[in-house]
Amino acid sequence: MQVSRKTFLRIAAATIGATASFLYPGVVGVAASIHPRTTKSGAGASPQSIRLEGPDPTFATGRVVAKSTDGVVIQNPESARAIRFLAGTLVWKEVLIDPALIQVGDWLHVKGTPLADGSLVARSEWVFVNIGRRTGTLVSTSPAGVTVQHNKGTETLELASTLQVVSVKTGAPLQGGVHALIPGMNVGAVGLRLSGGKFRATKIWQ
Amino acid sequence: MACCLVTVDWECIYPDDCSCCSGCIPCACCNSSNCSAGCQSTSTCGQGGCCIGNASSWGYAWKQESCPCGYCPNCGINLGFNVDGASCGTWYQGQRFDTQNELSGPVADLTESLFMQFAPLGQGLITNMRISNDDSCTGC
Repeated sequence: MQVSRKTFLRIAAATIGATASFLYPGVVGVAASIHPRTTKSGAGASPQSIRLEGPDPTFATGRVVAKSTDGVVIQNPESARAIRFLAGTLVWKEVLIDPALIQVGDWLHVKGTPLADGSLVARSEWVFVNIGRRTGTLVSTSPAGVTVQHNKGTETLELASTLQVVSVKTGAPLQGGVHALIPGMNVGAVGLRLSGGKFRATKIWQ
Repeated sequence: MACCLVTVDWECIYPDDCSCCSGCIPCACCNSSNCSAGCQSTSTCGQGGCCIGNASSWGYAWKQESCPCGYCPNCGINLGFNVDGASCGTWYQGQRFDTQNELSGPVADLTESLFMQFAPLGQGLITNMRISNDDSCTGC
């Protein structure tokens, strides 16, 4: 659903107004504070410990239910939130793209700066559209994909043109790419969730 | 354990898009083989039956078998996480929300919000994550 800016702001205000107390149970005075309420310990130069109380105001996740020229509204079973995109912001959807390409129905993970009105200004390149994860036992590899066995069965993961294959211990690239992966060993992957339940890996580790 | 250096990744968790975990396979939304009670269920969620986490709150699922770092925290126990380097710096405390049963690879699955405290989700892994059960990180 493409909406005007005026409508977007109205939706945002409505959803935020309805959910603000839930979104920020640990924050005293949303309008007065845009930072997470934290508990700190440690003194002087010693390490300090920060424990977030309640939901992280700098993070949001949910399905896109409305969009405008400069933002979207996302919703999950618990809450809704307006996400704002400043000019020049890029979002991940296998590759970095313009936020205008986000579609209603996409699932977002967003890191950003919370505003006093409850909305979240997205941090460029820290917005992830339909990102997913896979973990399983490697069955085989081919130029077309990597087949893994997991608790949902056997699945062949498509491979992104930008695919990285790395060591789980060091994060360093494995020589040979997917051909370096050893069948029978556990592998993990991150990538784009496609329609029909398919998955395209952008990074695989073993 | 005072402090150890490990690799971690992230995991989908409620209220992520977990209609029995379409986002991640497997996932921490609910038990890999039993989603009958939905992703919020504390009786069917997770390998350890302690799915008390939320994607928007800092937390971690600890691997089950080997008690990595020589420490086996129970569900609900906080650990500190950072990637600040030798000085250790600031520790972000997250609560254990579940157990995963993989034998190798990353030693903990972080919630999306805790992972994104340090790195973008697309990175998939953080290989220089320091974990501690107290604030006195020395000799990492």
